[in-house]
Amino acid sequence: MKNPRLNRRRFLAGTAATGLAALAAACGPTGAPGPADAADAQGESKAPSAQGSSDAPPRNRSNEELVIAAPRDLANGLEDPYFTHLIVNAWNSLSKLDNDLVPQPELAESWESSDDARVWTIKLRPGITFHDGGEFDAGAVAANIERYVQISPRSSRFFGYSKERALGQFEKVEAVDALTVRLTLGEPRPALPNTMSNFYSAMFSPASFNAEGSFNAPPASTGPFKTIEWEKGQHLILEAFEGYHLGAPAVKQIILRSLPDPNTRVAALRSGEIDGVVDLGGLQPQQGAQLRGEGGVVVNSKPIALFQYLSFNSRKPPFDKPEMRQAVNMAINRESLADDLWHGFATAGKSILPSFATTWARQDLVPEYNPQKALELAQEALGGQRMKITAPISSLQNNRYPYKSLFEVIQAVIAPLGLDAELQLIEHAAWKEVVANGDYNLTVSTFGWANGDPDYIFSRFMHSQGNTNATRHFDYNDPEIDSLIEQAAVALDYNERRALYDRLQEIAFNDVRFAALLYDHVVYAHHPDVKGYDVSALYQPTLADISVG
Amino acid sequence: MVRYTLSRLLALAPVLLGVSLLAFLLANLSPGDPAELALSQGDQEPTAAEIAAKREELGLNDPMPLRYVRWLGDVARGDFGLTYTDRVPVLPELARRIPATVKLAAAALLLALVLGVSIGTVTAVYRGTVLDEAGRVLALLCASLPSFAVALILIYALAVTLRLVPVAGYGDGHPRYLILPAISLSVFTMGTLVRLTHASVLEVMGQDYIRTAYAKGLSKAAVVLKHALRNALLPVVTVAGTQFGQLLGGAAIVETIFAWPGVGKLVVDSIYARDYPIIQGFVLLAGLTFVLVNLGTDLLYAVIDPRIRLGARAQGGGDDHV
Repeated sequence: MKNPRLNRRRFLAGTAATGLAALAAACGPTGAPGPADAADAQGESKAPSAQGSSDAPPRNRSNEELVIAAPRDLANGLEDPYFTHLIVNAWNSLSKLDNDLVPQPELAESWESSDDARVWTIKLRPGITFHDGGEFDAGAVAANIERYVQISPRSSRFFGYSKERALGQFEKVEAVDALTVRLTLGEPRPALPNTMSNFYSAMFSPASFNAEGSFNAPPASTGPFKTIEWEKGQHLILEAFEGYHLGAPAVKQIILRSLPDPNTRVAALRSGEIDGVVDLGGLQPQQGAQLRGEGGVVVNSKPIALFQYLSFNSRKPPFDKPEMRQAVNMAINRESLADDLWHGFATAGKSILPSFATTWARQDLVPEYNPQKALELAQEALGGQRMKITAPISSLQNNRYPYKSLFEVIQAVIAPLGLDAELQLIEHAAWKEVVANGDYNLTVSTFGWANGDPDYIFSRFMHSQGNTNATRHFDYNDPEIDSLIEQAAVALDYNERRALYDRLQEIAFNDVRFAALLYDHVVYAHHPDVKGYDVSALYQPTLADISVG
Repeated sequence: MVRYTLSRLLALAPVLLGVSLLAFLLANLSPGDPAELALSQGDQEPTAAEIAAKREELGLNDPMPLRYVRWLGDVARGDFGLTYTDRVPVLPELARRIPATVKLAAAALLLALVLGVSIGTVTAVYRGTVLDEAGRVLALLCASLPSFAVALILIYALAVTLRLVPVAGYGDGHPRYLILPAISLSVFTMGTLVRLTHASVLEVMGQDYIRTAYAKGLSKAAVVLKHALRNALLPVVTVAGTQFGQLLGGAAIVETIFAWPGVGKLVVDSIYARDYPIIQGFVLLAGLTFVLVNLGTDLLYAVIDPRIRLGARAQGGGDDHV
């Protein structure tokens, strides 16, 4: 039958042709709306010539362009309060934590408070301009603080903004003169330079945000690099800001690539496709050790404001008895965990405040490693009985740290105490729910001490209304401890505050409802010809100082 | 044929309604509080008051049936809602990621089809030879190796050692970025198709008409390509159709390894964050795709095998696959 309809021969020929066309389409530059085009639709900017990132390896490493990988997107869209992470070096803050977690003026020149720490006068550094050419002055600072107050609370993938956490009871902000800002609060806030540090006082050009406080485009700020292109899930392209107030960076363009898989990041580093790795979890401890052993890449680490801690469900047996918590704590050899499981990229935990933060941390609170004494305590508490306990682990945190191995070690060292631990590796959201419901005995997780203010930890961990206290079932409900925390938060004298926090550290250390296990280090790597590559205690790389040589 | 197509299209409605209900229940009944997770994205511990306010903002305090009906009503109007974490519209978020996943899955399927059918045919035609043995071992390997293992091996061999292709990324859409992810994703499907084609060709080669073709004096190549392969393709097309759906859905791991900006990684991240609107939107769209691909496959039968097309008119017109 001859008709124009499709017959088998035509079908097969057509299929072959379609296949070839599909192959060509799939392989060739596509006209389909890819992420870049869609990014445009969302108001993200695109640079005209950013395809340098796509050149086939090997690349020529030079000051013209460097490529650095991170495990996540370091920009997060126009609805984010800051658009980019601190790591990006696109913005500066009024106050910034140094490597001992002490706040230092950054865009501010000085901070002065009234005697009652309610009125703060902030003097600004002169001669600073935004990426868009606008002047950084008191008016801009006031506009930024008013923006934050307006958008609060605003969630962020980096650091959710809350005006209460940043400012306490905000009353008003005024521009006294071009370089002086006065901030009036409804209560004393001696730790304001801490609570307004980094994210919480990131400054943007007022021309970058609209009346609702959202960004119109990638915002102009004062950092050494400005965003010129962002493709969500792929890369963020930065260009050196020639007008940076501390001097223009040596590297003209930096491409921050998002490579979520840890093995891929290492492979890209080995192949020379990227020049460095940044961010928390950028390199896992064992990868750092392996790369260091192989050579060819510089591997470094830095203590950061993050720690791993043990949580005991203190509301139910066996950890309702302090002796059992102390026994477990004493059975764990922290030095060995740091050296063997973390390959030296961690320090044995002491007080709940990481010991490198010398302003606050008590150095004398060192957990005793004493298996024999642990055994005696456990025998006394359990009366020779054996008990089953559950120890859930978050799969998300297990991807970042060797948690499964850590738990196996803990399981082994507490077995002689009479505790049969059942390890449960569960998905992160489910883990949170299991722990919050109190269906656990022992777990380990991480905590980031983001602003260096001890209140950030104690109000959460030990106050009767503290969220971590509630969700981990630490069972703190002591008016005296509440009072210590509340007094410390408003104490104006450093020595007085220090004494109160010393006392709280001691209570926490002796109670062992939670216990610092390891102080974390961030592991980062770069090619040897990239010089000046360092990171801060908040794992911010010194992008302004790097060069190729 | 037209009536059949129309009836199949009408049957889509209840199927999609079922899919939507299942997607809603699966997301909403899983443990974890989306409000808390949305607030604790950046190493932060939200307070109880902040979580309560977020739950209210996201409408999570309303009864579940009300939330379902409200969501369904919005979806019917084309509004898939806002994501919980970033508060951006769901549909554009999915739409800008889907092309990259389709491109990857299409390339993987094409690769699997070309190699799978070729190797399957060769191993069947040269049954019992070294070629057959090698092909079968290859098929077994392909069907047994998980895609992430293949991906890591390929990265090490082709990208790190030989530096022929980039380790990861999407680049400017240049084919070299597609090579490793497409091979990694295609390997399992290729193994399946080799074995399927092998069995199918063997079966067809035993048919009377193949003997007749040989008797007519046709060459082996002509018999295999013109007579055997065409008839052996029917089950391959069926499986390829369903495999395409699986490739779309199963691309998440490959996308993560190769930093491919597809929808798979977005959905996996959304599952971790309990970002219900994205999960529900994706499951609904994936359900729609599956149903349409199956419909397309069924319609293809009729094109490939005239007995099906003519089955309604001519009595005893062969297997009615539809």
